[in-house]
Order: sequence, then structure tokens, then C-alpha cells
Amino acid sequence: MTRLIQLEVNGEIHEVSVKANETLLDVIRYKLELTGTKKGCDTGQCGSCTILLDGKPVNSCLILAMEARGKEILTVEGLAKNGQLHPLQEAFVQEGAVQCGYCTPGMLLSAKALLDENPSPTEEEVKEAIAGNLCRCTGYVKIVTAILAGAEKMRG
Amino acid sequence: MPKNLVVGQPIPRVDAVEKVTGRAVYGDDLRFSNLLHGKALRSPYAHAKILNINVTKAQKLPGVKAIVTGKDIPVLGGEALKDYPFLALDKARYVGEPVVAVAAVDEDIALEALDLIEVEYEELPALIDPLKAMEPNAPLIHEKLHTYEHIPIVRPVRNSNICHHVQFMKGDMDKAFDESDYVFEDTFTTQMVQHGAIEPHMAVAQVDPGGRITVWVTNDAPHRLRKDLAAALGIPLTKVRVALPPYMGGGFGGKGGLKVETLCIALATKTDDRPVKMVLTREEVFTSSLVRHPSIVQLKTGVKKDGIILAREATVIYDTGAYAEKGPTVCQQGCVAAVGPYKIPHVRVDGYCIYTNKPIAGAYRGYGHPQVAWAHESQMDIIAHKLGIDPVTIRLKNAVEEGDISPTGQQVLHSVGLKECIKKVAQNLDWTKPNKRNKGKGIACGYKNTKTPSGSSAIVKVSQDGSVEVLTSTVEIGQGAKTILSQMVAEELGVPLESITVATPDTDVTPYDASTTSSRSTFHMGNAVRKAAKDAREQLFEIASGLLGMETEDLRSEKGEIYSKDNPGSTLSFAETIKNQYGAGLDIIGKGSYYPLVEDGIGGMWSASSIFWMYGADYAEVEVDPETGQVKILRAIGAHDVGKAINPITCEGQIEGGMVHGIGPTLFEEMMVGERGDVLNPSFADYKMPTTLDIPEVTSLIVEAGHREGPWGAKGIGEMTTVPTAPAIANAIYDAIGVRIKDLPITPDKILSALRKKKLDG
Amino acid sequence: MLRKLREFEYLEPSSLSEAVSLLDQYGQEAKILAGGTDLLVDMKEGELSPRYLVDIKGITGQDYIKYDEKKGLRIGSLTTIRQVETSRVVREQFVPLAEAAKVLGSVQVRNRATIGGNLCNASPSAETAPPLLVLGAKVKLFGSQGERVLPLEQFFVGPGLTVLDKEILTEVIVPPPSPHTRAVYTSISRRRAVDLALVGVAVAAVVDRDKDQWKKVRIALGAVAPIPMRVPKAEGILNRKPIDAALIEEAAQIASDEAHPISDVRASAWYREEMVRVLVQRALEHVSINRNPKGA
Repeated sequence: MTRLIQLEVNGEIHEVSVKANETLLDVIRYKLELTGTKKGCDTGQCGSCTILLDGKPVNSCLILAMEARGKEILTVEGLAKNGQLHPLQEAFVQEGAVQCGYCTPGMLLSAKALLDENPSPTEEEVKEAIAGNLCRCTGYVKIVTAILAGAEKMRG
Repeated sequence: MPKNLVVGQPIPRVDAVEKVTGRAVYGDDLRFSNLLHGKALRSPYAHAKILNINVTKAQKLPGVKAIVTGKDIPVLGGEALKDYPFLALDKARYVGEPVVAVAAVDEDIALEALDLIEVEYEELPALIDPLKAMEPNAPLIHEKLHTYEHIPIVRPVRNSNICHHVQFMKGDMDKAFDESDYVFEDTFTTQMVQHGAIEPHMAVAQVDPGGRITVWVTNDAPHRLRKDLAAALGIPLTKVRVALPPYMGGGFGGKGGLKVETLCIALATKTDDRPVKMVLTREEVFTSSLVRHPSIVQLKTGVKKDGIILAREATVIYDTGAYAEKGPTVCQQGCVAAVGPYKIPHVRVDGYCIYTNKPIAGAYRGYGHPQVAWAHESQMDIIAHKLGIDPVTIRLKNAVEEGDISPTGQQVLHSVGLKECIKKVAQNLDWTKPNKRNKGKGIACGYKNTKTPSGSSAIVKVSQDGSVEVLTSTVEIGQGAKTILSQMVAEELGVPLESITVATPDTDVTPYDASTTSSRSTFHMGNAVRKAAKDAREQLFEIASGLLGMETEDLRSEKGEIYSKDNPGSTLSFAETIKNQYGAGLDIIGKGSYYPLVEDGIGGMWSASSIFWMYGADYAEVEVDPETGQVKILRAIGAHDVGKAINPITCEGQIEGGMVHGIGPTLFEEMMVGERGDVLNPSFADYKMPTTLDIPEVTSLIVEAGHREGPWGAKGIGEMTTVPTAPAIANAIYDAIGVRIKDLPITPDKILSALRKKKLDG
Repeated sequence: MLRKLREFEYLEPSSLSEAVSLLDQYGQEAKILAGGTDLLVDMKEGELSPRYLVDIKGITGQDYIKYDEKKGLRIGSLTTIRQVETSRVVREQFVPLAEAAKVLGSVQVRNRATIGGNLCNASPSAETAPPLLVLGAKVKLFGSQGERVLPLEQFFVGPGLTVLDKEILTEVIVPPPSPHTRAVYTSISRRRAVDLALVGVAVAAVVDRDKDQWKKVRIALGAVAPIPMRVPKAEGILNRKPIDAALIEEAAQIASDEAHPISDVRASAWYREEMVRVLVQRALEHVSINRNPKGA
């Protein structure tokens, strides 16, 4: 049985027809065609499906689309504004924190949530914030550096 | 010698912006019209005859468009040895082997169809232990082994489960052991591990009415795949097109060979031109894609009391699982390196690649080298401690150098930065300083070859406005290939980096490349793009010399402008040059190919000679909690000889990433297989890869022992960085608590038991 | 086999009574959806296939953390683990609960997982259970027959099984801590983060400073038995005894003997038994060392 629901993604309201068993991840990727959010394991272990729900990082593979009604959803496509990269995105580019890029959207959103709450995190706090985002390419070193650099940029 | 403008510079990657904005397109992001969704029904048994398959109920389900079994497409594929069926034929050989595939209008219906299919099996005894599989009267997993086609280098043993046996011999072993002051015998083992690329495997296949197959697929070697598919199906190469998505989410060797596309192709032959897509679930990636070869390495080493190694005998067993895949060549390459990067006059290596009824083992970052390095570097410290010689000194005493004959005797070594790597990591060591309680430090080194010979071709096109396109089949799997190839073209052609685009690999468009594996792309494709860029530049200079009235030998190009060194003020842009000659429009097309010529006794691909060897050393500092057995890695340093760093940032990224990729299998990662051949932990919940909280302080050091044939002296890096990590950690653990673990992974359980035993032994 | 969620009917009651009447109506075919971080995974892995999912997040007023010196701590069952982890009053006054919340899953999981869900899922390794047991927690259950309050000890029945009978857990109640209570949670897992505990240990102790002895000790273990458990024998040899290293070691050994862990893909039974001993010893040492600022 499908239902027509409204989802607010990156500031825009979308009307979409969903079944109860469709996850928010699947609806974002296959119905809203926002493919920046990735599917790595579908069981909440890898973090590549991380989005911000009312500002908090969550695994969208473990949320039903139905549960996301009335909430503000932010995906990686919503980070840059008017063609201007978010300081975190800039930092990831400059610091060499992107290799295959599959974990990158999730990492950026976990990092953004951290910095929105804690503009001057320690290295340990950065690591704890992204502990739920797996990366197999970079060894995390430059990702942590990039987040700290992004934080510095944001502090102005 | 003019300074390089672009090569050697730490420029940001050319694909980074696309990736941070979420615009980069990966396999599952591609969209197709009229798409069908495929799912596979897989064997629940490790070894079983397939007696009957009943699909009648599933066929009647509305929305099901095709169902296929092995009988519909009874072909065998495989690069080294053709033993791999697209779908199981008369029997299933591992838990997870695809037996039936279904294509339906959506995933829900495809899954429902699977529930309606009935398969009757007759269970057969399953071989889980490779040593049992090697026994003389072991049941045969591949009864028809002797009938399989294979490349010349592969030597299967008839009527056995040994799909390849390789042997290297040099010198007189008995005499050498007699002359040794000490003889050490140790056995080491490594476990089954996963590549762990965060993007799962996928493919879309379409077969047009004329029978031409197109596959869009996450694969690290489009031309190789095309060749494998055409060979398996018995059709000409032009009937197969392999198109890659612009980006891949990691591979590490796991996305090579025949994987998901075989199922999609089988289905697409029956769906009337409709494309069929299949994406593996994470569980299927664990059980039914590839794993790293578990191994048993026996080393017998004879040394003099001053630490010089006289003789080394290695028996290496690689457990390749149900199908050969790359097993024979992993075995081959690993065995060439088995005795370590040392000057050893007497060498014997016996390598075996064994079938078992377990997940298929194949190419995995390091290609057989991490397993043998685990053995030879652990044993090196055992020897050092027994002889009372410092671990750094003993390695430097024996390490190969420029001009030495390789340990297995096939070639003279060139570009050998090994000693420099060892010295660089050792700078951090003061072995004489006593450790703080339960803390220790260790080093290890190693080397890795590249498959030789192998070929790469490239085209560099300069368009009328001076912009440049590079056509290459090298795959951007995350390693930064697009970036460094762009840098090389920018340098050779003399254009700004921003004017270059690198095309996405497509066998219809981009010319032949052997594969994006074996750490070969910087060197082979680098040489090819460099030649192609040079060709294009020379054509432009030919035209420009007439226009400028200058000799071609005196012409230079920089930032897209051509000028004579004798009159640098007068410049001509590429666009002006082309427009002048071809006013109505034409491209300048430069082409280049590279195929190394190497002589050795064995010949053919996978010969024991390697056009280049990478060398490296790791240092690890650990702290062990003796009550819980837990190991914390405090610091890790990797020093790697890359020949020449085309981009120092991406090289650092590979060293950091490779080390952390090595930490997982050392301490936490293990795919556990039950008695019935089933993987007990096929999920990230129970297969623990390192998170950001598990990493130590990491330092990466680059050594450049330039290679005369490498582009700007460059060699490769990707796989080398994970080779010495495990033994460096094990050596540090021994330094910390005096416990030597020879079986990976080094779990707290094993450390605690070893400490108890040590206490009891007094 | 891991696969997409099967189809089900999604129900969203707006009150507890409505929710409970749905449970009455559908019985075993219905499952409560709170955070979903356990339920949806179990459903994707084929362990569960409920025909009805009852999403109780539409019931307002179920997520709160209230503290009162007399009544103690009251946590609404839909409070997320992240909220528990970051709550000032929990971090200051109910330390082991905050420490356990902190190691549950990842930040992403903690932003959805609820304290009610963690308890009702009743995994032998439920992270919040050992701390709540040593803190003397009670749980409030709401059913069509009305409300009841139980000590947490009586809530768990077996792995994945509780005494809930078509009821919903609505509140977790923790009494105000006695003066001079020190409490801690410690666990061990395969890797440093985002991992199930192989062994979880919580200890809460009231120490008599003047006599330098234990007044009351509570020890609870997770992941080493079918349910999270207290270890009365170990507690028994400490209560009203002097604080002494040898006694701590003995108590730790008894705790280890009382536990009966299994071997599974994560760890062997032997290793878990050893870790009970080590972690209980360390936890007891931790809560005892600051008893006397002038002491060792």
C-alpha cells in the first residue's frame, strides 16, 4: 500500500509516494534521485548513508521514509550554497581527505553536525564524532586534519 | 634540467570537488530506462550436487521476466584457469554460490520469486581445511581440473585439489644448511579477510537483439573483463562492451574478475533487450565476491652467527576457496617474493594453490605478499633476538641493493630503495633505550612486484580550443589515477592542469589497458600517456615551427603556449596553432603505448621477473594491556620507495591508508568459517574494520629511488603500503611483552593465553 | 539472509492507550517501532517479520529526563541514548549510565536508539542494563490492564525476552543516589568503538569513609549470561567489610565464577570469564580509591 507523503530535503518540500517498507535512504536515492547519500551496508554499520535529521546525524538506512515526515533533512547536496562550497568541503579538497569518495558525504555531515554544536573540537572529539563512518581508503588521517582545518575556517 | 611545473607537486585531486558535493556518479547512481532488477538464489551448502531446480511457481509470479540456471549458460570463465561457471552447473562448491538468478520489474518481486524456487541438493563432504584438501585421497572439488584451459604459467596437479604448484630453486640447499651456524624453522598462518570497500559490487547488463552485450560494472579492468567474457562466451571482442561508471568506491582487488555481471548477462539474454541490474547486499559481498587467501607459510632459514642468511626454504600454501580466480597467479607472485627482499644465495620455494569449499579468494591488496612478509619479517626478528643482533642491523646486513640478483634468481634488480626505507623508519628507534612497561617497538620491511609484462595504451587529444582530453582505460578506484595522469599530461604537453579532462573508461572508446591492479598504472599507463602527450606535442610543434619560423628542436610549450627558446617573447597558443592549420576544424591526436620487454627463463605474463619492485618498511609502537591482552598501537610510520612521487599528497594518502588497512587484519579482522563452510560473521557488525578511533599517530615518508624506465622515475605504491604492517606490529608486541604470535589475527585471547603459558613455563 | 524489508503495515497511534489496544489486537504479529536501530536490522536480516509496525514516536511527552532530589531520576522511554549520554544530570549523578550510553553504537545510532528500546530488546549485552541494575532502577509498564512498576531485576526473562505482556515500557525510574556513592561502568570490546561489549560491568558502591569499609556494593554484568545480571555472592563478601586488595580480587573471581558466558563469533567463553574478573577488579578498585582524600 503506498501513501503520498511530504519530505523536506535541503530546504525543499518534495511530494513522494512511498510504501511503509521503504527506508529514507532508498527514497532519497531512488525516488528523489539525490544520489549523493550512499548505501554501503544497509544495516547502520558503515555510516555512508548518514544524513542530518533535524540537525542530528543518523543512518538513513535505519529510518523508514514514513518516520521522516515533518522533519528537516539535510543531505550532502545541501551543503554548498549558491555554488559556494561549505568550509568543510573546501577543507576536504585542500587536505587530500578524499580518495574514492564513497564515505565522504557521510563524513561531511557527521563533521558538520559536530561543528554546529562544538565549533572548537579537540582531535579526540572529532574522532568520536566520525567513529560511525567507516573509511577503507584514507586511514582517516587526512579526514581528521580536514575537519580540524574546516573548524578553523568556520571560526573565521 | 628544468624544474617540473606539475609533476611532483602536491596539487589537490581533480575529482575532489565532484566527490565532496555528492555529484560524483558511482555504479548504483547510474540510471537506465526499462530496467529490471536481478536477484540470485545461492547455495546453502559448501559442497553439494544439484539434483533438481523447480522454478514453475516463480515463473508464474506477475512481474518476473526471466529466470536462469547454469543450464541456460553452461560456460566457464577465468583469467588464469577457466573453472568458473556463471551459475553453478552440476554442483555447488561454496556457501553463497549462485544457483538461480531472477529478473523482475522490482526488487520486492524478485525476492518473492526466490522464495518460490525449490532446489534439491545432495550434500557432499565439504573440505574446509586446505591441508586436508591436499591429502592424497581427499574428495575432489574439481573432478575435471585436468580439462580446464589455463595460461601457460599455471601448473595444476591432476587428480588433486591443487590448482597450481610453483617451484623456485637456486643453489644447494643441503650444503647451505650444513654450513649454517643456526637453522630456524617456523610456521606462520594468516586468516581469511575481506577487502572492505565501502561500495558494494554492482552491474547492469544489456543484450541487444544482435547479441551484443553491454555491461556497466564496478570492475577494475574493463578490457580484461571484456576479454574474459568474450572468451567464456566464445564470441568476438567486438560483441562485448564494458562501460564503467565514472567513479568506483574502492576495490583493493575485490572488484576484478567475473563477479556480478555474469549473472546480469545470463538474465539479460532472456529479457528482450531490457537491461538487468544487480547490486550485491553487504552479506553477499562477504560470502560471494572475493576474500584474501588464507595462508600457511613454513620457513626454514639457515644463518651464520653474524646474521648473514645463507639459505631459506619456503613452503607456501594459499587457500583459494572454491574457484581458482586469481589464486594461481597470487601464488606465483607471492612465491617469487616469499624469501624476503634479501641477498640469499641458496633458495627454495614451493608454492601451492589449494581448492577448498570456502568463499573464493582472489586479488587482494598485496597479491600474496602480505602473507609471506608476515612470515619472513616475523622470523627475521626471531633470528635477530636469538643471535643478539639488533633487528635493524640484521635487515640492513641482508637487504638487497641496486644491481643484486633477485632472491629467486630471475633478474638483476634496479631502483632499490629498501635500505633507505629501513633507515628512515629506524631513525625513530633507539633499541638500547629500555621500554616503559608493556610498551614496545618493532619494524618490518618488504617488497612487492608488478605483473610483467602487461600493456597500456593511451590517446591524448588536443581540441581546437586547446583543451585536452585523455583517453585511458585506467580506472579511478580512489587511488588518484585521474589526478596523476592529468599531472603527467600537463607536464609533458605543457598545458595548464585545468585544461585537461580524463575520459571515463569504456572499451568502445578508451584503448587497451591490462588492468588497474598490481600497482601498475602510474608506471605503465603513465608511460603511455606521456608518450601520447609527446606525440601530440610533436605534431603541434611541427605545425608551429612553420608558423613561427623556428626549428622544431628549439620549440617549448608551457601553459598551452608554444615558443622558441631563442625567442620566448613570440608565442603561439595551441588553439591558434590548430586553427591556422585546420581552419575548418580538426583535432590533434597523440597516441602512446607501453609494454615492457623483460627476459627471463619462464616467459609469458606472470613471469618471475618484474619490471619494477616497490620497497618499503613500517615501524610500529604498541602498548599491551597484560590483563586484557588488548593492544593499542601508539604510533606507526611507513617509509616507501615510490621511484618518484608524482603527487606527494596522494602518495601520503596511500601510505596512511595502506597502514590502517594493514592494522585491521593484524588485530581485529577475521572472516570466521564454520564447520559447514558458512561464513559466521558476514556483516560489519561482526567483522570489525578499523574506525577512526583505532588509528595511531601516523607518519608517512617517501623515498625516491628513481626507475630508469618509469615516467619521471616513478614506480608504484598502492599495494606496498600494506605489506609490512602486520609483522611490524607483531615485532613490537614481542618487544613489549616477550610474546610471539605466529597466527593472524593477534587477538587479545591469543595474547592472554600466551602470557599465561609464558608464566607457567617460568 | 540480508535483504530489503518485507512489506508490513505501518501504524501510528497518538496515545498510549491506542498503542496498547493495537498490541492487544495484533499480538505477536505486531512489533513496537521506537528508534528502529535493532528492529529494522533484525527485520532486514530475516530474524523477524512482523506484519504490523506500531510507531510509538507519535505519542508526545515520552522523551524527558527529570531529576528531583527526592524522587530521583525519571527518564521517558523514548528518550534517545544520545540524550542520556549528554544529559548533565546523568553525567554528574548517575555516572555509569552516561558511560554505558556513550559506548552504545555510533553517534548516528545513539541519535535514534531509545533507552526503552535498549531495555525491551533485552539483548544479554544491553548496554544500559548493568548500570541501571546497580543504580537500583525500576521500570514502569503500561498495558490495557493499567500500569505497574517493577524492579529492573524482574524485567528480563531470557535473551530477547522480557515480562512485557502486550505492554509498553513508559518510564525508567532511578532512586536518588545515597550519599558517598561512587559508581562506574566499564566494558571491553574487540575494537575501541562502535562495537558490542564482550563483557560489560557496572559497580555502584557506598563507602564508609571513617571505617574505610564497604557499606553497600552492587555489581552487575552484561553479555555474560542469558540476561544482564547482578552477582550477589560477590557483593556479599564485600558488604560491610574493610576495603582490601585481596578481598577485591576474591570478589572479582567470584563474579567471574557466577557468570556463565558463551563462546560466539565475538569471543570465547574463557576470555569473557577472564574479562569479568579483570573488569570487576578494576571497577572495584576505581570506586574505592577516592574514598579517603588523605589515603593512598
